[in-house]
Amino acid sequence: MRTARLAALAALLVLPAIASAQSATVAATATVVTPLVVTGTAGLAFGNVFQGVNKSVLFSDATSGRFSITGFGTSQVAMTFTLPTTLASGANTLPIDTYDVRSNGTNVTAGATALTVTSGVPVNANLVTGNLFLFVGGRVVPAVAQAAGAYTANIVLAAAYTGL
Amino acid sequence: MYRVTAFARLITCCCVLSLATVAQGQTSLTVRPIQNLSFGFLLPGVPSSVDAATVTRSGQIQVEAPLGTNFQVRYTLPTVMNGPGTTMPLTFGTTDGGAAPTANPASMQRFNPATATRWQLVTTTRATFFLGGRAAPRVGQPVGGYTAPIIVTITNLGV
Repeated sequence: MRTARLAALAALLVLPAIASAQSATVAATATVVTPLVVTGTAGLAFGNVFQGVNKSVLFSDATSGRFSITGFGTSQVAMTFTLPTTLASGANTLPIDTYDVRSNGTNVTAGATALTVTSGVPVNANLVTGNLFLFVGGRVVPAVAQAAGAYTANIVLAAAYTGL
Repeated sequence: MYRVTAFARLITCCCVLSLATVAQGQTSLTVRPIQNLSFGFLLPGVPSSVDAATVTRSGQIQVEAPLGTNFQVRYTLPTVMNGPGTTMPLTFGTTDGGAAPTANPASMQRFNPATATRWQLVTTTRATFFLGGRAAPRVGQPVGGYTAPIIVTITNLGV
């Protein structure tokens, strides 16, 4: 009887040494954000242009193109512009050879930051308190024999969170 | 007197047995947290999964011990992440666990993280354990950061 008790005690003393445990903790993390909203608020309007005379609209002009993006806090967004190389009027085209895109956290052109934009290539920028405003200037190059008419094309902006 | 002596002898014997077990059968083992399971940005109402093989997002721990060491891996898995005054459901599938002899998940073996898993260090002295999962924000889920602890318990089973 005594031997059995002692053997049991011995087993208790030995067993803890056979299997020891330790732990580590990692976290599951996520950030719930508001959906991005991209709005085209004004078209890039060149107005009347003349044959053979280039015409520019500065990003700061009243007729520059305007977009706004609203989203979460100061998060980073990837913006992809689709920038047409021509405006169209039926079968006729009018080249547009230059764009000047600027961004700002407030809806004013003063202090806007230049973005290096290539059509179809994402460019990153941070929202400022949930907002980003974009101003688009450009230049059209009418030919000497440019056909008269109203020319138009779409400038498309797509935006997505980068997760940063 | 006899009783005391016999007990003392047996205690000594037990100590010897314990020490012998440590010296011959059990090896030192180190567990390191490597990376959180990160779902990144989520939109309300849009579930998102992280695969265990996604190196930049999966939860990862590393176990280091001598070759031949056997051990058991057991996850304590949360069912929600806690956020700003609310929670967000978190689930784990039967293949959301992965174990590999290196930090590269390409060669990992999948397992169910909800059940304890045994592993032996055969070719390297380290093993990396990967964990994926699925977060399901509700429609109207409040904006903000959410987190939950994932506890990994490693039991050294010796060589």
